Amino acid sequence: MKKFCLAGNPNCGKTTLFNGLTGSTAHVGNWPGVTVDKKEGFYKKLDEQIEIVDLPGIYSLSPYTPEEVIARNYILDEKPDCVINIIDATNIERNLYLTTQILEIDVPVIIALNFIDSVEKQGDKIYEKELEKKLGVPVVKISALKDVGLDELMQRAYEISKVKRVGKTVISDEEIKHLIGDVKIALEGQGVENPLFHAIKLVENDEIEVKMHPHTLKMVEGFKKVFKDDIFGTEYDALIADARYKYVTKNLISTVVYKNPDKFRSTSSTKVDRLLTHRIWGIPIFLVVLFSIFHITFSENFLFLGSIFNLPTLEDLGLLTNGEYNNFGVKLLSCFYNGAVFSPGCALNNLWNEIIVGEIFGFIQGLIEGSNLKSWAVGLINNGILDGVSSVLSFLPWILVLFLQFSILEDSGYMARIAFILDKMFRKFGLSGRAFLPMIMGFGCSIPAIINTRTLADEKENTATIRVIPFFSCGAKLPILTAITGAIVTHFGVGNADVITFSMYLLGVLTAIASVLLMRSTSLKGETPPFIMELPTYRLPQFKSTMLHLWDKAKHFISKAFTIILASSIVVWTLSHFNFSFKFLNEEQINDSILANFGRLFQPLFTPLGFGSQLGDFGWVFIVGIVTGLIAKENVIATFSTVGACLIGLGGFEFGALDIFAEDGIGAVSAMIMVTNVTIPALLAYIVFNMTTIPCVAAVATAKAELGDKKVFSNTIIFWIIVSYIVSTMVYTIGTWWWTLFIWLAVIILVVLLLIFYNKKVIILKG
Amino acid sequence: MIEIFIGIGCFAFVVIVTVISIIKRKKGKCCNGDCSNCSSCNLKK
Repeated sequence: MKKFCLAGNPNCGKTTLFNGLTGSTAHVGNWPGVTVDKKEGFYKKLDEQIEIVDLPGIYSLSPYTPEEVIARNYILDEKPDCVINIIDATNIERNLYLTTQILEIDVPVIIALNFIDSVEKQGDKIYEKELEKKLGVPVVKISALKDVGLDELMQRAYEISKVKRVGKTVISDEEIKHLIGDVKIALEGQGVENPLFHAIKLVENDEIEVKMHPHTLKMVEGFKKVFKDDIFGTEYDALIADARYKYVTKNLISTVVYKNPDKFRSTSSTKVDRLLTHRIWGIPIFLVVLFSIFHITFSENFLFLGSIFNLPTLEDLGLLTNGEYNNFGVKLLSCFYNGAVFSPGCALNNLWNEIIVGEIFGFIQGLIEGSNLKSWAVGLINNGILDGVSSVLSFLPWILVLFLQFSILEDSGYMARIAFILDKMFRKFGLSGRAFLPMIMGFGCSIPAIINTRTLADEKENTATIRVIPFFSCGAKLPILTAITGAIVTHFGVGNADVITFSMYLLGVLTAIASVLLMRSTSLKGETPPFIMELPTYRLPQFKSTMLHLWDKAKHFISKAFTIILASSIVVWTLSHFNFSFKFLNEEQINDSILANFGRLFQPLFTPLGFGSQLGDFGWVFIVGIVTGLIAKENVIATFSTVGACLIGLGGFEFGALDIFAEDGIGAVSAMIMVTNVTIPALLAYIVFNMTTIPCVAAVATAKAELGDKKVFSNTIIFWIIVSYIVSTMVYTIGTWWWTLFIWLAVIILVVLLLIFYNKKVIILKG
Repeated sequence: MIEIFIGIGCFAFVVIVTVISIIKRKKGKCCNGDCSNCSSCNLKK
């Protein structure tokens, strides 16, 4: 099977092309450095199947960054049948610098001029035939986003992959050419593959080559002594880089005709940037954008229309009889409106739960209850299996609506701007703006976010970022946030769901900032590396790729609900219905179960956080939720639902008025509130604890792999436990006794003073 | 009889999910994370 690889500058659309060719849904984002390792897929439209490998974005084949080493090693060692060099056609001059290096390798090369639609829209023109003639390799115009030219690209790549190609250099300076030629002959004599490429790199004093060919290096050094350039002296890498750029400017740029040749022309991107990256308004605009996302997703009072116009409820309109909807139409209407207009996210979630999940699961549960099965089997299926799964599924629309908006922001190029705006602020805390990008990815899933920290140059900055990524609440934590927030709003009638959720997210971000500040001034002290990143142009997100991304997210969430969550729910139900003598317990006896005893054992530890011993008989469910959440965070609410369903079946609690259904996560939390009398501050502390404590097992495994060092990893686990404990205690105590705010402020000031004193002492000792 | 079948089925399901998760992890294929993003994950190597 033939193997083609995709190589090009960061953010030139390699992964979009990879997805287009292979039908994959790999993560794409409109900023440089989304892909940090190679990805593989298959193209099946030719006579034979082609393996496509997507390499990380690189600016050169010199080993300046780990991504460049990965890409270089792949092209040299794996010997692909063809290198597809993707070029951002809107920025052809800089992209061709890498091309000049790839052309030096003995491999068939084809150039894909991507974003050709944007070039044509600007009125510019690229003469690809002329470029083809000058470079000596095929050039094809494509638009990976719009699926234009991909088949032609693959067809031509397939044709040239059958013919052997010998590397060529564009360096024309006679003396350097002579030097390279001599080194090349020496390497050929040693049987080295790709002699031209290695010879040039050796002349450049390339770190890898110097180690690979120490004997040849002596010969090169000898020649260099007699050769000295007037401008660059002995800086051969600069000399060769200059020769490449000169070639590109002199020979290749003439193939592009700009409608407006002014290099600093004001594009629509720069006009938008004047506002969005404004040094004063940039951050407030970002906060407004972020709040709008949460408002669109969670608000039950969209655009505050209900409050502004004092709108009547469905009951006021006489559409309810004895608390029941008059007909299906009213039920449908209640998903969108009830005294206020629901936000799109809320309306979709209501529709999903009332019409789909509620009806389907309710119907199945009714059938099970009506069957002749023994009561334990009915309990296992209805409470253990169906309630556990449906409580997690009930949050699917919210998750999708939230991620749709984040995905649009990522694809548009706005997130990369935010990294720049935040760089100045982040620098004060000891991080560069680059660290913001993996953090933002953490809102989706901690795993790719942790992997993306590889793009950070400094090891200590990398460790600090990995440690705080779980504080950026991921999709799996969303059910915890929304179920508890929803229960607070419906049960206590306090606040707005969107405001509370947004505040919790912000608290996570603030915890991350404070933690970084603390780490970077103590154990992970170090210089903050400079932040240099190419600002991507604004692009309109493509409907197809966004929908594919969402579909992938939904598929993953559903499959997780029916595997790990389902298995965990079965275990939770079983352990909550058996005692240590393996005797089956009915719903009245679950306080004597194995799970209850296990939870109660750890309850005192959580008393300062508000959800420990003070919660009495059923408080152990909160502790069990934390433990099951370590497998997958969705398990927290699935556990509440599995046990909550049993509680609803118990006598002595008045649930009817609240219209509680255990299959709805909010209902399950409401049931727990009623039986434990847990307070609002304790519930908020519970959210914060789950948000900031040890993440799920998959994220922990990724962090372990990325951190490498065992000691650093174990310190990271301790760090997560301590931070979550302190912040949750803070939330609970301040929420319960407002005056403790002053005590916490005093503690924070004391810590800051100690840090200043500690740092000064270190400087004096070093001085 | 059917209750025994349900019990055994649930037990088998839990065992299978656990074993598959462990095998996938040992093989280096990440199953718990976001798979679309994890195609570049080093757990897959």
